[in-house]
Amino acid sequence: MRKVHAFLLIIIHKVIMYPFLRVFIGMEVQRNQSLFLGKYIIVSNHSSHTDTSAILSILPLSKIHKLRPVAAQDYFTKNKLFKIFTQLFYNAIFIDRVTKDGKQNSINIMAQTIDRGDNLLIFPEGSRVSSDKVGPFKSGVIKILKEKPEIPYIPIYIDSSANTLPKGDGLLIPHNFKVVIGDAKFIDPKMNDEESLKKIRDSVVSLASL
Amino acid sequence: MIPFLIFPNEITFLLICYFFALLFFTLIFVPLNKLKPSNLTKNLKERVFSWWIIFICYLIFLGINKEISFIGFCLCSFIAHRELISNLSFPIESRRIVLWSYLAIPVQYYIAYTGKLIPFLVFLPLGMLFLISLRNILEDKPEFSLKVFTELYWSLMLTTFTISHIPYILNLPTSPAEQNAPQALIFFLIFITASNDIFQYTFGKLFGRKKVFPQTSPNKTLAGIIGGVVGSLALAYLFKDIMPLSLKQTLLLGAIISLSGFLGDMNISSLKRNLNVKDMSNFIPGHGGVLDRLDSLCFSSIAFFYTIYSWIYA
Repeated sequence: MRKVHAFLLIIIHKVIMYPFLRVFIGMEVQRNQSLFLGKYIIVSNHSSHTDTSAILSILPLSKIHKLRPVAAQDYFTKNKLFKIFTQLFYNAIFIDRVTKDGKQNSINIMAQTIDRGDNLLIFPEGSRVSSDKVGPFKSGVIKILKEKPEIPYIPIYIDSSANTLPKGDGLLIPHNFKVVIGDAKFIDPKMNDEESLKKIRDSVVSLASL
Repeated sequence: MIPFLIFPNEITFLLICYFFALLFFTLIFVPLNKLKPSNLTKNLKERVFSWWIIFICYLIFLGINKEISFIGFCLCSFIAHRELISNLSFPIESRRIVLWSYLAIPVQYYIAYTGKLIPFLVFLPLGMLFLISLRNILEDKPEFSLKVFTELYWSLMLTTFTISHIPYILNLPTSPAEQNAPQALIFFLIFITASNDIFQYTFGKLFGRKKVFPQTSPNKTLAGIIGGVVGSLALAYLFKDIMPLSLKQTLLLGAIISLSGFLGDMNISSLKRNLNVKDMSNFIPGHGGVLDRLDSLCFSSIAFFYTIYSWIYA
């Protein structure tokens, strides 16, 4: 069953989505070998639903079924059909971003996913951001990275994808956007949370000028 | 002669010549760039690479059937229009008007495909004048009116109206004796426009001293322009047997393509200086966008089309 799902994900993202995004929507990619590493957590800014598809479609073939985008439970499981859609086509895991117990449980869910050998895709802004600037990062990403300090994180900066499918609008229109992939980095366990979070955010923001 | 492709024999012969010339230059410049890397060899290698792209696109777009020709050029126009629109940064409120401009591109190519001259000439300049205004009124956001009117309309004209004239040549009526004429005309247009860039570059590098428009494009010199015209005249002379025109007309066409191609090139250059970008996009990684490649063709296609139309059909 897992193999069938992996095959389905590869067909959707590599065969259908990648050419569609590249030729029709106008995605440009600045590649980096870091995505070929064994295990990692991808940390990216988030302004559009296009982002998840873009990141999944540029992964190496052997990594597509291993990436689990971390999705908000309150948004994606509102509708049963929508939930099945995100699970089936995006292989997402759902976390509770609202209640306090739920937040602690979320870290466990993410840690278990990594223990199973999967990679995570985290949008630390917590939600899609409407302005062109990268918003403040939430602390969950630090907690999971501190729990698994042997796993590197890969910063990805996505430029102007909001023009293709902005928040609060269901119409997808073509518009060039750029995906910049950074080098894999480790966090320093001795640093405090605030500084580490700033460092992670800076590593994403610094890709904007590339 | 080439399997699966429908080119007439005399064009096939020229294409094979081009293929071997390209192979020859690839075998010279690629090892040269490896052995002695410099800006010049890198530039030459890139030019050879973009020539391969032009060559392969030409074979696919014009060698299979008429439908593929129209779809191929439609795709080029679409990507060029998208590159321009993306660089002009439209406000998010006007995205539905932008969508209408995208939708106009397949419509224009469909009309071109049906071969009706008046709708083909009227749809974008007048139809879209009306439709963009209509969509803008429906949106009820008057603060972006001028931006939408001018930039969308100009972009459609530059990328779609001009380029759609190239496949339209396939629809021009021909007598049975001149069945191959449309194919020959398009071959002539595309290959002289593309070669003209090479001639301008080479002559500019070899003899260029006096810069013509240093602010717009620092690489264009008087020697380059003259070299471009001379080179295009020489190529037009070589192609004279495939053309359904007299020698004098063919040579004149060569010169017209050369000069209008230069104008188109400068036009996009000035826009890029204004927007402060090096390339319109990075569609072909390391080689810029589609509009960077089509810049000369935008203007040379129009100059070429109306010249031959007035000679043959008027």
